[in-house]
Amino acid sequence: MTPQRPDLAVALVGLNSPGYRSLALGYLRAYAQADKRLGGVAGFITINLDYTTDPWWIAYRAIALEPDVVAFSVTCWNATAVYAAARIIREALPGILIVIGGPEVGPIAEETLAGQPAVDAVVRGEGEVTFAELLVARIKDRPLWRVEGVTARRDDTVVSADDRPLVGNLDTLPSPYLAGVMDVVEGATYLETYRGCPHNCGYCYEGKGYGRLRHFSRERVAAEVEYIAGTRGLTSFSFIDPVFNLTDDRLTWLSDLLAPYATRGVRLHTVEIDIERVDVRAAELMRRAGVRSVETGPQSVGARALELCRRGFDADRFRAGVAACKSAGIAIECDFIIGLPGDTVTDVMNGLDFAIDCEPDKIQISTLNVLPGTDLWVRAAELGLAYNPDPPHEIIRTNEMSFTDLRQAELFGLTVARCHATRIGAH
Amino acid sequence: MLDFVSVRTGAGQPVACRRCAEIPDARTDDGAAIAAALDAVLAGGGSAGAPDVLFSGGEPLALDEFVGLLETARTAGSRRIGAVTGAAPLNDADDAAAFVREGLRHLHVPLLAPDAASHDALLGSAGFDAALAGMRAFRAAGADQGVRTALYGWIPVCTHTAEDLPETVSVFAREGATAVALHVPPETDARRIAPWLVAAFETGLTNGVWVWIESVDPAALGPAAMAVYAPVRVVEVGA
Repeated sequence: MTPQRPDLAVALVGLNSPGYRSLALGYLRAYAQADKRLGGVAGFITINLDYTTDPWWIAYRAIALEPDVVAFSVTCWNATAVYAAARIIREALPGILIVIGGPEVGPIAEETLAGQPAVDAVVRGEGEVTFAELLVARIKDRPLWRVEGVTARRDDTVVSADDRPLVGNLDTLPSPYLAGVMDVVEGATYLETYRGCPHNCGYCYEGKGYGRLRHFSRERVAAEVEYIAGTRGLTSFSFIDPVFNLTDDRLTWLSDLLAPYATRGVRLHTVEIDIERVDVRAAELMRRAGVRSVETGPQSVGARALELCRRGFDADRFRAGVAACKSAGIAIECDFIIGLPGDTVTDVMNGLDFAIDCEPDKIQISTLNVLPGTDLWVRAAELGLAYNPDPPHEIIRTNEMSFTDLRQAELFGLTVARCHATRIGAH
Repeated sequence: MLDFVSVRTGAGQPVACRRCAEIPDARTDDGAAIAAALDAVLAGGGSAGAPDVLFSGGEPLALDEFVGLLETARTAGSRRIGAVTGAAPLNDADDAAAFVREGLRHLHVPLLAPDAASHDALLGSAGFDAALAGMRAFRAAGADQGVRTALYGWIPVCTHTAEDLPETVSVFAREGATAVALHVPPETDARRIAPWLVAAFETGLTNGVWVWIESVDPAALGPAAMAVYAPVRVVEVGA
């Protein structure tokens, strides 16, 4: 028997790093599917593709589903492909509703709609409730621009409804895994235990976007861990939390929760930590939880850059944290950003020397992306930051480093990282 | 940056411009003396552990004892081991695989010019094709064994090699070099050859290969002043 077509066919399209699935779209779908007003009316399907996929193929996959709504989660890395695919979809299916959301477009929703005529609406900020309300409005033929958290077209203008308050109780958002809308994939499954970030780094949207920390309940996290870590054959997954070792109490709880799975060989990879708060006990708790590798700063060792980006850095505590992790057999990835305001060429070189001195397992070099909504984006003119207005918004020039300096420093940093990665025993 | 303690395996380099009379012929020391020197270097690390080491002088890879030297350094705890070589000894794929298996990760290979005719003329013998084959065998051995290696070009800069520096850098880029070093003798008037040094640096930059320039005042390099930064440094024992 041919399944009946829903009144509203919704295609959620994720353009992700190779091999990964969009957790954001998983949340959107799980919440919308559970909304009684959409039950029996809306049908959902998720397409996960690599962000390098040709926009024609992205459009082909979406159009083939003959959807009424196509929704994209947009980051600085996939924005160009999303916009190109949206233009094709619009021409192929003129009556379709194209909705986008995510950190790349939420903070600049009106500008984005003005520049992307193929797109109908932007979901700003936390998307689960807003997206479901938008779909209800669509079904009931109500104006989208009246939905809290939505920016949409009203005749020839772009209108933003009021912001939607953050979800007070995160447990009201169904788990995408427990709801069955996301598969558990070896090495590419991520869990979220809280939203927000205790830090407020100028280049990052994490703390700025959510404002304050909100936690999923321990019962909810335990249920997700049991489901994911208990998946037959799974050997590794990870947490998307900005700081895994948020507090001693929470780390102890996570270690207790994860230890039984770790003893069965389930490992956690590349969890982000505040390494300056890692002592021998914390490292042992992480080892016991199955943490195999961690990712951490310092992003810069330049005093001026750290001050302008509102980041703390204590070299001795950092080294002590690295030593503690190493003693526990945990691999360390040190991250550096080239192009932070305040950093000179000398600061970059000092940072690389510091990283080498710490002898992490990996040095990760990246270029500053001045992301919409971040503190650096707000203060770009004040700080003398020139950046590409198009995504991914790479830094072009700072007050301290010219375009030439930045490009040379990037290549030098990448070269040092490649040379460093040749350690015997590393893979 | 990454420091390597030098272990001298002889005098001179396997590749040098024969038209520059002041450069002596390469001579490789005997294995027992080199092993003693290596032991001293490894012991010198003290509580910090064994340092990263670079074998240079003569043709270290031609030593019968070279695999044993690699094993000694690796088992002592050296995390990275390199060698300066003409690369011809790597033409034997089995040897290349054995060197990498025993811990050779960094290879510094000199070239004098971007093609066989020019290089071999300056060298005074055939060597260009063997050097390229050796570089490829080294990288292939690393790929086969699933380990990361670093290949460095090394260009002795003199009046005979200067004009071809950008093209020689291009050759290294095509061969997958991580970086290229331009070794300028300290007595050289860098301002006279600065255009070629800068062009070589920018050729590397365009191809994603860092080019560093040794023994030159950055002020002479203008927009390429950052080229004085080396990703790897060689430290002489006792220096």
